[in-house]
Amino acid sequence: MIRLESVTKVYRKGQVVALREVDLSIGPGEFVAVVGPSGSGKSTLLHIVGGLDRPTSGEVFVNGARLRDVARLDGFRLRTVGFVFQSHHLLPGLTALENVEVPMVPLRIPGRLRRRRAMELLERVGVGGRAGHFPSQLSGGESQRVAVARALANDPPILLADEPTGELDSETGMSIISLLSELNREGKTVVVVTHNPQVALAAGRIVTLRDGRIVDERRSTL
Amino acid sequence: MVLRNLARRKVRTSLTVLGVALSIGATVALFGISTGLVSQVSAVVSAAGSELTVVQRIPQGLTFGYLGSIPASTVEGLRDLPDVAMASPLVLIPATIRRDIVFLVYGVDPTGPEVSRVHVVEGRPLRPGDGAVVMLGARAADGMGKRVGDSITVNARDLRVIGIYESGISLEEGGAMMALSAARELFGLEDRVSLVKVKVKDPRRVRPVQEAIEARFPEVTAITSEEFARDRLNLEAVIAGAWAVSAVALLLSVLAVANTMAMAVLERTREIGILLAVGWSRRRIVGLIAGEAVVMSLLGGLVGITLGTTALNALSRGYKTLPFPSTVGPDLLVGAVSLALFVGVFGGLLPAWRASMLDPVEALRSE
Repeated sequence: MIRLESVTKVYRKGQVVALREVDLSIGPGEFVAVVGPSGSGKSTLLHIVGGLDRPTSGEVFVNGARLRDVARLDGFRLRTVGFVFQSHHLLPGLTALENVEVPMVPLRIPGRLRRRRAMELLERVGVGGRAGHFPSQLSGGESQRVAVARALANDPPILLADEPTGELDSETGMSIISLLSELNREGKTVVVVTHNPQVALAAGRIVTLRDGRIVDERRSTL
Repeated sequence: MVLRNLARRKVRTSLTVLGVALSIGATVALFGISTGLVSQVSAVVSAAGSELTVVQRIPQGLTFGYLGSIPASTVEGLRDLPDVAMASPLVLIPATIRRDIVFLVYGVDPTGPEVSRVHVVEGRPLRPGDGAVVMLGARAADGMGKRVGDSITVNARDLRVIGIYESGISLEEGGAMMALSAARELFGLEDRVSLVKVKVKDPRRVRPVQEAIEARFPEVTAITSEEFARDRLNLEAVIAGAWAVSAVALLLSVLAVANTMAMAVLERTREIGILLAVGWSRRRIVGLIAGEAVVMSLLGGLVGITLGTTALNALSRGYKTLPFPSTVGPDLLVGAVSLALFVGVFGGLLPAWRASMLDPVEALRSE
């Protein structure tokens, strides 16, 4: 499903090496947690897998496509991956329902169909009753659930979450992780970046990064 | 989404819309006045169905708004030309009644086409032998509060109003007609007239007649009514002035729109990052930002057209002796909407391009 071959990412300024020749393979339906101290390159890894950033060298294969050959990464992001960020990153001017509709807009899905699908997704993640609310009227946990619904909008095979519990209390955070686990059981490949060990334990596999290298990899016993 | 984003910043959006509205409004008003003036003047000189206007030939370099005059004897000479169907002399003098009202006095042949073509709504038309009397245009009569039997004072002479006319040309309805001989005497023109309207027998032979007139009478020139208004009265300069003022106003509104959208892009950098992350293309981002700019400008254009039209109507009502068009033509409307579109596209282009070039990862990190 996801394969990184000797991926290196160097940022232009200051010669910061975020990733050093990382090899990683993630199979379909896996739930992988990427852990490590801040600055270890885990967010960069997620951005590269999600097509938000391109590696300096090495190859990235996602869902059968070599990303180097994908001319328009926006189309890749639209259909293949769904992002969930640390702070929910909802658009403040749109309601919860409209936020979920946003990724469907470029696919020219008719408005009524779009709204119906968005409503189904909000109900799926347990915030159907908050459809008409604006992000400022939602709690942190509700916002993050809306963000998960948005990531699912175009039914991508892969969910990428960058510190999805970082701004939530532990109980709310764990409920988001259970939601991701459920989605994983339903067939989504899930990659979560976190430094919360409890979150990592929910994953089937934990990959540890330090200074841009994979230093440890283990199967979860749970 | 475009509308939602604009509604989020009501004050800034309204100010920008107002800025565009003022510049489009000024443009509509200025072009309304200047093109209205040209079309009114050409309507007056071609009203009797004449193709040509014969005026004094004047040296180059002295043409600014100079009308001049030609000897009355030329009129007879023009009538003798074989291809000429009609030669109607006209005296055209701007007169000041009170210090704030300028209006045009037309000296016409009481038996000629000028009198027979207008519609006398009150009193009687001019007759041969009439002296210090005038037929007053309906707009002028309305504006000055004069009726048949009243007097107006022109060049320190009291002229009795014997009739009120309508002609469908507001420049004419804002003036007064008097007998040619009386007008010459009143303005000290002796045996001269301002211009002669010439109608040719065969409308396809305007050009040869024009040449024949200029060959036969070297002191005159024969031009079309449009040339008369634009070139001889130099109303072209008025239009050029309107262009200049409008261009500055439009440039300012392009800058206003660009500034508003640049601020929006700066403030919404993270939102643009989110849109890129969920899979929106760069082209779609350009469309979003440019779309907001265009919607604002078109809204400004519509408000501006309303403002400009209202201003023209107010002027038309306030100054009845001047030829302000009371309606804005379709050309001007289409032009104003196109200009608004231009303002939106040019104002939105750079901010939209900048928004689309944002790096999604960095944009997401920004506050």
